[in-house]
Amino acid sequence: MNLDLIEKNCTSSIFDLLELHGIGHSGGSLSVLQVLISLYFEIGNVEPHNPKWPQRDRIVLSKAHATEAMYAVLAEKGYFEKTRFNEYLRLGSDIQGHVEISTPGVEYSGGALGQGITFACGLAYAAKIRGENHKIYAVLGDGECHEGSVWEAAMFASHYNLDNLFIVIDNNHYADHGDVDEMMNLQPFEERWAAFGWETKSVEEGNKVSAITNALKSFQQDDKPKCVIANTVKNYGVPMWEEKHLHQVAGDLLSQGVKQGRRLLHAR
Amino acid sequence: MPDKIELGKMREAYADTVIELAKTDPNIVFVSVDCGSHEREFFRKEGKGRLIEVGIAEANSAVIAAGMAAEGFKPHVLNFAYLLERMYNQISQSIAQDSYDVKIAAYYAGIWGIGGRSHNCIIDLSMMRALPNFTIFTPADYWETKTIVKKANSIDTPTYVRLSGVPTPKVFDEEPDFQPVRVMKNGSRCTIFCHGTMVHESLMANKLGDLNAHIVNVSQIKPLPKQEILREARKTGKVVVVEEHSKIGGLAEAISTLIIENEPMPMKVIGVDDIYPLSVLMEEPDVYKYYGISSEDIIKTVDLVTGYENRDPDFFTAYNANSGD
Repeated sequence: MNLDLIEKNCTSSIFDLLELHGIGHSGGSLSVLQVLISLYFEIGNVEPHNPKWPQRDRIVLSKAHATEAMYAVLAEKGYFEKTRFNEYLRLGSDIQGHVEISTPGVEYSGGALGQGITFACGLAYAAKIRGENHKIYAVLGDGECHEGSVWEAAMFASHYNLDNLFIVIDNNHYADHGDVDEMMNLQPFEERWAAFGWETKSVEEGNKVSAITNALKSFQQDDKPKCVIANTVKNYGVPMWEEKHLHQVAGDLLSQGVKQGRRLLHAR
Repeated sequence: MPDKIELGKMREAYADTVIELAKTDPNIVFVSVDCGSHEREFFRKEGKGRLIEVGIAEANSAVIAAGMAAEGFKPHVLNFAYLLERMYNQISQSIAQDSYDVKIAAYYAGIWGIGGRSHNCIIDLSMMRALPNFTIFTPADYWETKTIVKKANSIDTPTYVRLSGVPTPKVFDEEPDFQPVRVMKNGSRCTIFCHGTMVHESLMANKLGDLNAHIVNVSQIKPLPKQEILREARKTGKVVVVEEHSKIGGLAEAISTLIIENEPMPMKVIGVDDIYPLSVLMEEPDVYKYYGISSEDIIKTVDLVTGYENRDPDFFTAYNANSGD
């Protein structure tokens, strides 16, 4: 498996989706891409041609606005054809503006933040009491951790020793309107997760697939839920968007950024 | 209807029925938010993780239940009705949107309760009716609660069961069969649609006020049994809707829309005004009168909608001496 090629293809698909529809969540999609590639291609035991296979690992995208990244990865993995990108945001389509279970490979219909981790807790608890061995992975944004419900779920997971539950936080440091910690300080972030009873790992190179994979494979405590804090860059790979920490792009900025991103991608 | 007023707790009927169902269905689990003594005790003893205590975290209880339902469990979630407000976005996104098989029941729906304005909830139907994919039930008494909890459990999409928090008059002598719309008393002057505690109140008004009304218990609020309701309305050509609920968003608004769109006819609504209900003890008399939903209000409204002007002005003096609320 050529992960570099997969990453290139997925990044290219994100640009295709943004261009095709003229608007999109570039920031969170480009920051979380490598996390999703790690989960779908390296870590998760999933079967794209049998997406409801009962023994599959469950991958929940709580930051459901990262549609471009999710659809790019699902299509690359083979859940559906890339030709279906045309259907994205079209009236009546299964491919929605926040990821939903109508799209093959999606486990949770999100939108309002702070609920994916709780849903994942429910999945993990169900697996535990049935004695099933599959794992549950949930991907959260850092800004999302302002939500009180995230911490309710954090308590639930450690209270019930959900060691089959892994979360990866796309720690890109920016919400829609600015710096996450300036808005409402999350620090000391990793210590907070640890204090809630989670085994934690911080990944400096959060936009490197192998770094995410290594972190997810390095957990050792078998009675705790696990948390990877992946330090990522919002709009990774498009400097003109990176420096503005953009959440969404549209118009001229979109077309110029896509041009810059594609040029840098070819040079990678 | 029993001759003498007998009280029963819907809440107790709910607990007994959920426990009875859980004895034969291992997929039934109970999601507790520091709530439900009997259920907690039973499910804890059953073991196998079937009691899921989430602590005082109402919003999260809805999403834990959704996750369990996604894996094929049938979670029952119990809470106070006012806490549906706390859970609302979670119920909408995580349960209703993908139609997960979560069984929600809530008590202290209505004006009764010592908790006061924060705790007495008269907008639960307004909230829950607005959510697609939910089926909503309103049992009339202890016995019908048993029927309806079983009915809700038999459905594999989200359900909401509305319960009173205090003991309420029994209108059945035993557990009835399930009927979404049930004629409780045939009559010809007008059709009274009612649910919950107001079924007993309407029957009492009918008897004491000699109303000869056609009294219909609507136990399924959503999907609204439209044809049955139109059929019963048509029998008298005049409609009164009575509910222990806000006039905004409850059964009255549902039936109003149905009647206006299909067969316009004279209609009046008896419900609670747009307020937060105050604390009240069970022993307090005239509570329904205070909120304008008493049997006396029903008699006056039926007289009004039917154009009856011959009631003796002394009737209500004598009535109040006898009815005892």
